[in-house]
Amino acid sequence: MGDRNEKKTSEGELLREARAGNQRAFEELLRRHERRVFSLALRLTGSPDEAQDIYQEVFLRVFTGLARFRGQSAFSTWVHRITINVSMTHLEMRRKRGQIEQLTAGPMLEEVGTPRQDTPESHLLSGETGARVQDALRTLPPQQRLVFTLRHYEGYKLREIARMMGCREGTVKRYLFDATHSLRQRLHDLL
Amino acid sequence: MRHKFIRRQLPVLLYGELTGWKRALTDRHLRRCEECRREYRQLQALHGLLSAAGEPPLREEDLQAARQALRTAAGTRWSGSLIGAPARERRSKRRVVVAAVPALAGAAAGFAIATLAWSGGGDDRALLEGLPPEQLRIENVRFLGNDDAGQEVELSLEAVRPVRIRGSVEDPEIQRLLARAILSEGNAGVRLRAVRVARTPGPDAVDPEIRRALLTAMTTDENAGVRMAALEVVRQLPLNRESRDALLHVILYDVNAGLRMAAIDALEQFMTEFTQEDEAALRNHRGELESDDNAYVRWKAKTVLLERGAL
Repeated sequence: MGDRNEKKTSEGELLREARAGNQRAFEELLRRHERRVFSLALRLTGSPDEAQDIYQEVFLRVFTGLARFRGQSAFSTWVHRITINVSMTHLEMRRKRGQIEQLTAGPMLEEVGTPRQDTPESHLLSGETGARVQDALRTLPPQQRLVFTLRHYEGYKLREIARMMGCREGTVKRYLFDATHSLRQRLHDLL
Repeated sequence: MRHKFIRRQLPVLLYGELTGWKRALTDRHLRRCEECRREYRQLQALHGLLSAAGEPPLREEDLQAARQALRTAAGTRWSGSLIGAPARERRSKRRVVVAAVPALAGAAAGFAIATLAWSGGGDDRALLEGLPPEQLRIENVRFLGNDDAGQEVELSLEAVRPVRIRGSVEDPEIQRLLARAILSEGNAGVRLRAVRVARTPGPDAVDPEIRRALLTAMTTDENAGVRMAALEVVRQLPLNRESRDALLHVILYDVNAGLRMAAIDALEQFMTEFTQEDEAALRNHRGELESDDNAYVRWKAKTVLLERGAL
């Protein structure tokens, strides 16, 4: 409990310092949140290149918007929402241009050849199984991946997702159904 | 028919969001239908599998690349010590830099922040005179040295005060500030805003200096968002040789596929205005266009430009 309070105070102090123009404080805030931002962007877009662009945009927005952040939500929540908004804009731009997704299973399998050993989850799935799951997620069309990620991994309610996407809840439910159907087909032998 | 309806409810049920009559109907159906119960169990198994998968693998080199791109985009506002970047060498000489970050013109008020850093040897305290203390913010204080007795200390710092500018976007002074911001402001968000403000007066009123700044930003800005915003403005302007060359440059050399796609779309919209010189320029790069990494660019280059007779 004492440690948690100390950490909370520490982030609050960092925020105050960063808003006062202390660069190192901002850098420390960035260090604490960057992996989460990058992971979320990667999960939402399926592309490391796009995740990099989103990462950059997110932290530039955080940097320029720090003075306006009033602490009505946790800093992590604020950064999280910016990441989702930027990712959704990114996906919408891509959708409008009718970009054909280049789905390449090969590189993903190579990447997960040596799964991360530093998280409890990595012990639950073998490298190959984990790779297949990540690949299946990556092959979802952008809207389905967005809805599925926000619902399954980020825990947003379907109504919230619909509001964020600017569409009806029924549409979100359809995306969720299509995504789970697609994932089940691709991973049926693992179930 | 009932099965199909029920199966569409199962993912919503799985996440605990099925309520009301749909929930009651689904529960009743599942009690009676083994097939749908089996389907639901599969969804539960899928849920467990996906949860166990954890985060997608995050390659350190991807994260490093993102940090580097951010540091570059942030420019001089951040020191070289940002996340593992080599520490900037301290200098004994200080430079005077005055940078204006432009404001929105017209009805919306904005702020321009003048940043001053000190130059030369000796004491530059005179530069602080006349600046109201309550409006002054001190940043990036660096200790350059102090004598052995601790009686004197040498500092470098930045004094930042708000500067407010208001006026028409067509005002030459505002135009110069906008062009300057587009080209040299370290903060990508500000460059982006400047690009968007530059489009305000409409295609006929854009200053030539702004136009050149937009073309430069479109082809060379480090931030993809700024490049894209500049491209969106450029495509609203009449085509000339400069903008054609700039669009072609983006198509051939930009690393961002979205930008290459937007640029080839922009070229297509100018198709009816193409001169023989424009067509020749495209023909010269046909091979590169048709071998782009991006399928959309390849398709566009091959089918649309070819059909329109530009290739």
